[in-house]
Amino acid sequence: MPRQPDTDVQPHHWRSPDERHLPAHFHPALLIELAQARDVPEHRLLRHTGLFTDDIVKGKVLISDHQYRRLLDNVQQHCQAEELALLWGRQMLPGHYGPLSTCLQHAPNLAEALTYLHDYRHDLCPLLFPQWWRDSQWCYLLWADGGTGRVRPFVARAMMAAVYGLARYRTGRTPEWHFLFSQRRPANPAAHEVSLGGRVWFGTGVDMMILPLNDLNEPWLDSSTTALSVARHQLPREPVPESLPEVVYHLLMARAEALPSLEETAGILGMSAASLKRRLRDCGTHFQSLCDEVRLHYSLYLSQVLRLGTEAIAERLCNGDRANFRRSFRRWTGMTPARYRQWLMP
Amino acid sequence: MIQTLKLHSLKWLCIALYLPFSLAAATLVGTPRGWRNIDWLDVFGEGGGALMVLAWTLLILGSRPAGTVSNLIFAGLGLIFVSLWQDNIDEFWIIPDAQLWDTWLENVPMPIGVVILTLGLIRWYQEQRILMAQLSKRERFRREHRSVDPVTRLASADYLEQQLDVELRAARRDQAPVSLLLLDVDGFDRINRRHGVAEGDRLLQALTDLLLLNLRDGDLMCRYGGDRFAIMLPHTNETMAVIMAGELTAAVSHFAYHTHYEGERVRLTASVGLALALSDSPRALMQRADHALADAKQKGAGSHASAA
Repeated sequence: MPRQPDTDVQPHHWRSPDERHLPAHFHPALLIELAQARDVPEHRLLRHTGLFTDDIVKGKVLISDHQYRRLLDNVQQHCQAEELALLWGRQMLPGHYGPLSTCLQHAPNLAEALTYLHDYRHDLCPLLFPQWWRDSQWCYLLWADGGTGRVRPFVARAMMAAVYGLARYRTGRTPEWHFLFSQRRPANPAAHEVSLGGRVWFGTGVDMMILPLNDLNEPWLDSSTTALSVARHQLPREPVPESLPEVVYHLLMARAEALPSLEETAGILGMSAASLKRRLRDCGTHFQSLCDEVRLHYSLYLSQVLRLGTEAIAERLCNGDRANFRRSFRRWTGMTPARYRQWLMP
Repeated sequence: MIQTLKLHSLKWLCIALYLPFSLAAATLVGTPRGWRNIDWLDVFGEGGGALMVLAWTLLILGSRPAGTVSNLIFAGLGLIFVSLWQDNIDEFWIIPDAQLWDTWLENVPMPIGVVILTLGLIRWYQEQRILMAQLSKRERFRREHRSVDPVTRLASADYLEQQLDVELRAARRDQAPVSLLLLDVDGFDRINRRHGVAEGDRLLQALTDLLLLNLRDGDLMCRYGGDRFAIMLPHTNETMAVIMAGELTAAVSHFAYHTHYEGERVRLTASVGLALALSDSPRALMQRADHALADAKQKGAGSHASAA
């Protein structure tokens, strides 16, 4: 949720892309197994990742965001990448990740499962972090860039399929949600519709799922409160810092109505503008694209949750310059704000 | 490719033996021309030709099982190669005219090789026609290897869209509707989660074969995505399409699939959504079939529904 500029965040810690924090035998291992089952040769899969299957099997290897991105990039090169991402996503949660999986397995509803997903995003979705808004009817679950680089389409597809797959697994029915992808229309959009059950749009500028509020709060059966509370106590306590793009995203979102410049942002983070630029590049992103993402997300928040009209949004985002706002919006999404709302929003 | 090439190891041995043997024979009986007297344009033409023929042999044998057609093609290309290669050797050594074998090797294998190769190609053509008859329910009259799904070997949804376009045009002309069935395996996610993706893939392959057996000539089946199949029935009215939808769901529920390792019986049902059109766009037809499938799913596992 966008914080107001007065509640200042002081993010001085972030996770370096080379910090090894993600257990390789969690979902990376699942992806490796799936890719091997689909005849992707091992040497191609693990090329330049510094990983070896023999090590992963021992269950002690931690991998960095950098290695993880490399692995995903290798899979993305494969001809069946789209289907693999959906398949991987659908099986990813609750998974076999110790107490974390037990929590997801016994969460009383989707809302609580999402808080686990958010609080342990460094383990479950280190490159793309979730956040959600609610209005009176719908929940808007947005995925923002935590350093995906080239593999964003792959990760976005997998993560949305993961949340959907979890809901489908726990409810035993096929919920009908809306899925908005930022990537362009793929070769085989039908596969997405089949896997994600609902309505799917591409080239929308955001990676977002829109689901009825009822689905968020619908009680999930077969959950044991004892198992859940025991698992919650077993969850690791030491905090893992956010990735740098995520830190910058939150910092910008808190000032969405008057975005700071690259220099000002670097100053807040206590580094030079050149360092910030270089570090963001190491994470596969750059300052301007984070600014664009924040402004688009904020404008959608204003229009969907606060129900503001185009004029009021332009007032807040572009000092009342409607033409400028329209032009920016068109650049982010390829359509006008009114058309966007009419076509893509429920 | 390496696996396939292994099938032809004896043939490769022949070529591998011939090459040093021809060089040895040339050094024994011939006298070297010396570097300055070599006509490099000839070497490029004849030697390059020989190498290209060798490359064709490699590509063709690498993509084919053993059998008469492979043998004929190999023999034909092999003889052509021998002629060109022997011609090329002449550029490096002067071989006396008295050595008749050299003239023979240069001139005789070529025409024989061409005849044998032609015979091989004729046989290949016949073989291909038989294969096409087997594949017709998967690909009809067009082959695009890039849009073939590697798991089920069926064409994908974009190919279906092209073919629907063709058939819908025919439907308008002949006033006979095209029917489209979308068949979805119920609870396939659970099968994948319980038995693993490799087992899920095997099941999809088996199911593909089963469903193909239930189709008529001229029908086309594609993998729509995930565990959903699309079946196009040209010139088919609603009564017939409903009968076929019923037959397909019955075939799936009677299918006794057993898992690969445990031999466990997996109980399967499938739901089918049906739509037909005389003059609609392929996409609209697919969408209506999709809605019908959702209705069928609502009715319960193993049922079918028609689009309104």
